[in-house]
Amino acid sequence: MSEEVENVQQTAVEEPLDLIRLSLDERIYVKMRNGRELRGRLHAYDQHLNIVLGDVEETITNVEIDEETYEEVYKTTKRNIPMLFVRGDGVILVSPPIRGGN
Amino acid sequence: MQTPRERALSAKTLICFLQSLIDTRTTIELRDDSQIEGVIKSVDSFMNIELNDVCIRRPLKSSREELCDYLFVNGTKIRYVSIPDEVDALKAIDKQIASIRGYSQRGITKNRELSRKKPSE
Repeated sequence: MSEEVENVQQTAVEEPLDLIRLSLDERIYVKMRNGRELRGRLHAYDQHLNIVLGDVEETITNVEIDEETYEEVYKTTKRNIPMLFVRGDGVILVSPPIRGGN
Repeated sequence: MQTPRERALSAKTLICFLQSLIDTRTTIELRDDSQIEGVIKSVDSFMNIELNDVCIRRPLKSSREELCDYLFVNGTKIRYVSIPDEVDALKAIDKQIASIRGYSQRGITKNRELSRKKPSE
């Protein structure tokens, strides 16, 4: 009985950050300020959402307005970084493991 | 030197990871998109970073690089720190925390000795 309780406590989600703990060592998606998105393996995080990611792919999305047609053109640039420390104040959301081809 | 309070804050957050990068060459990206490459000399509990042998690249202004010997980076202006390939993040964190614990335990034993001595004196 007591063992069961302990097991439950180990995996229990008591606060929002516990959800991120379940994603440790999995590939996650991080949305950042200024239209930046990161996909990478979550190595570590803390309460400020400072994050250490491995094998990161950064996608930067810029909106440019076509001068003739005034249409919004989205330009994305991608780059890869082997390991990255991300300061938490730029993080908007963290999404758990990416399943399938995302 | 750090105060005990600062050390405790560093151990609690990933600041301790950045401190484990002291004396390694890294690239810091700031919120204004400029990139700063240099050897980290110190990281405080606000994530302010001191660098030596610095090379500053600003994407829009010009492709020219600016060089300087010393640079202080305000922690709040940091977006990313790219970590060199050879660093093992988890090992580095463990090692740094162990060294911070070492400090605090030394503090505790010192205090105990003091408190033991007092009654006898």
